[in-house]
Amino acid sequence: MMKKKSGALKAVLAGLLAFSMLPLTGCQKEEANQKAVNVAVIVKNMESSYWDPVWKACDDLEEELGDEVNIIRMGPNEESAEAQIPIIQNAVNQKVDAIVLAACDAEAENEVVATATAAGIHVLTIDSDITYEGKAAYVGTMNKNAGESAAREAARLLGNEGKIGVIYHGDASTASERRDGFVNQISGNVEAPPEMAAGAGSKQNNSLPQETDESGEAAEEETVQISQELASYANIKITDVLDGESDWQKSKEQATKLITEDHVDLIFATNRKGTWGACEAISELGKQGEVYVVGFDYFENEGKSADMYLSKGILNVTFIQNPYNMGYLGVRYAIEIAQGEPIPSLVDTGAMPVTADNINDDDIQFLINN
Amino acid sequence: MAKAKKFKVFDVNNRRDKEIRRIRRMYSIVCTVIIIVTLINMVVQDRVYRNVRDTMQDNLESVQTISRIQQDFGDVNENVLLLIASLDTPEIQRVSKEVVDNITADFAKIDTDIANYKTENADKSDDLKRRFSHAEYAISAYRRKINEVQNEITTMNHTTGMNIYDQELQPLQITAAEMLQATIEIGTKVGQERDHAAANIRGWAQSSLLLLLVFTVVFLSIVGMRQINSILEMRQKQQEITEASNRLTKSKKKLMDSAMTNILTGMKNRYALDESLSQLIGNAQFNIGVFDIDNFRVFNDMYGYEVGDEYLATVAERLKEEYSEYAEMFNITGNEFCMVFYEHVSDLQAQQLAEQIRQGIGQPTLVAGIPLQATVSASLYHYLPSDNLDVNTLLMKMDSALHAAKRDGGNRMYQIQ
Repeated sequence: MMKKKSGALKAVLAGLLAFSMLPLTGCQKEEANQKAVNVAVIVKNMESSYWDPVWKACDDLEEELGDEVNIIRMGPNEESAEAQIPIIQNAVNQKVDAIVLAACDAEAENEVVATATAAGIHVLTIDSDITYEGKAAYVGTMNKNAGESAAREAARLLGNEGKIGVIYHGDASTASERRDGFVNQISGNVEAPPEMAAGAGSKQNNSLPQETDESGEAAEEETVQISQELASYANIKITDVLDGESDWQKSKEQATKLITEDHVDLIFATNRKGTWGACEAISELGKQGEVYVVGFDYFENEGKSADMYLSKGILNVTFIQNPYNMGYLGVRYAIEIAQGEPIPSLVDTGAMPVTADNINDDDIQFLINN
Repeated sequence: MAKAKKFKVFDVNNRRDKEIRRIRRMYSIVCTVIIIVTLINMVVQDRVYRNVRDTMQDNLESVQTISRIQQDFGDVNENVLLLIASLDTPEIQRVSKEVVDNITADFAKIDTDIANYKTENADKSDDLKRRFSHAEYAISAYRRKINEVQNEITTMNHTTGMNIYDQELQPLQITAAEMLQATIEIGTKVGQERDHAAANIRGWAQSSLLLLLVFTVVFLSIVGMRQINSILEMRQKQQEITEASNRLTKSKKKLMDSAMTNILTGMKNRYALDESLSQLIGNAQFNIGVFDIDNFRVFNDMYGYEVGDEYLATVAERLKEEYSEYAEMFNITGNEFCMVFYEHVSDLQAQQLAEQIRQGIGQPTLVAGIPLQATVSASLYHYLPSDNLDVNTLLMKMDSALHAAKRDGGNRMYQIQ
């Protein structure tokens, strides 16, 4: 009897075992089909809150894609190419599938990125680009475009007539690109935008058929068209282009000089410190309504915020970038290219002109709060 | 003995009944479990199916809504490009009116679809809603820009229009397209996850059914084995009882036999004769003979009882050898034999055989080297049922005839008329 019982027990156990294995084998199959893409996101400075929206985008992507992606968050504690290069090398050593990089230096990191691409790693840049051509894509603000947009806003505010002073923020590429974009747009010292002339092959430039003709012809046509646009800016003069050194007090000094000495009608500042300084100068001189400010970025420091200056009518327009979109689209494209899908090589995430009229719109509030 | 036997039978029956009741109970439990599990399974599978179907339907509707938004937003973008292409041309007035109307109509459709999507997906995950809101932000920023430049559009030159498009509208258009696509992917992924979960539940449901099937088979095997065992056990018990009963019958027969057999000659005794005759006497005709050795006491007196006994045994052996086929033989007293002739022996033959036997017994016989010879007296009775005698009366009649023969000098046979 004992023997029989154990036999029956064995049969039941064998049955149980067989069934418990059924779903397991199913799961294993699923896992095999879905290999996680490892993406290293490397920012310029881990301690800067500027990158918070990028991390927010990473969090959202992980939540949305689940097992499909594994994001490794990296970056130096100080913003320099020397500190960032070993971190890129570390990501290469970890054999990630893709690197999403906000480069500290446009040239110095080309070599290490080349070793990454040689190892079969797709490298995409966000926010700040590199000159290395082997990268898969750049996703970020086209600062020159942003400068040109700012110029159009300035011209609109001035009714195409008046004097403008420019305050830029030192040696940063964003400073020079925005400054040059602005100045060239107004003063006519303009070449065809390189991404257009080169026919960068992205989603951007296939919009108008006549724009994607043979490049030489297109470039020539472009020059003609731009000079037509310049005709309307003939009565606008840029009196001075000054360095605010990415310091709000220095910027305030420079702005005061532009207002009191050059008697400008409008100040264009290329970053948050410049904008803050310009607003402070106008506020102090009681020139609100007389001198316009076209600025960059949103700021909230020492009780002074872009919102406040906008509502007082001191700040007329400030261009806000979209680092959340840089992070989101950058990582999304990184996953797509790692999975063998085609992606655009150049994605402009734009810079949004924010005014007192639109600051409370949902999309602007989202940009400000992230 | 009889009491014990009865008790044993009762015990077996009781146990069998108990076993049957137990098996019945187990069968009904298993059947109930099978029915309940199957019903639960059916309900679960049905709910899972409905759930998956609803999810797929929801997902399909959402994808269709987003596709319409994509389509309409694509139309808006094409119209914007058409407008920009018409800048600096004489067509601009006509085109702008048409294009602005188209864009307004497309945005109205987009508004409806965005509202629909939000209603349809109000209960969906935060991921999905967040991603859709990003698409919505990009679309509303695009729209805001269009509204801003609407009044200047007819006086704008082509290059400015193109720059506005490239630098401000296109980033929003790309963002909106990517975010809408991501929304579809999240929705599909959620659907797939639910489908996967449903497949898991289905798998478990099917597994549990299969497990139940195996359990049932195992159960039936165990119960079957137990039934076979209990049947075998009962059979064995019954066999034991039969054997015990047979042994009892045999030992009883043996006892009876020993009571009815003469130990010396091995022939049946007077009791056996009584038994046999009482069977026959009421309903058959038969021939019966009684044979007595004349003056047998002389042998005992001359040579001792041992020789006498040996003589009787030898005679009895000879009679058994020669006449067993004709008659049933009895050794009534020491030197008195009785033969009840079988039915197949005729009256005449019986008479002859009786005479042969009488003389046969009297033949010289060598016992312990001593040749012994005696004469024999006999009586023979041809009995008919109509004689209507009881056994005792019959034997008394036989005895008196025998005594008459002896009185008349012995060595003769008298036939009772």
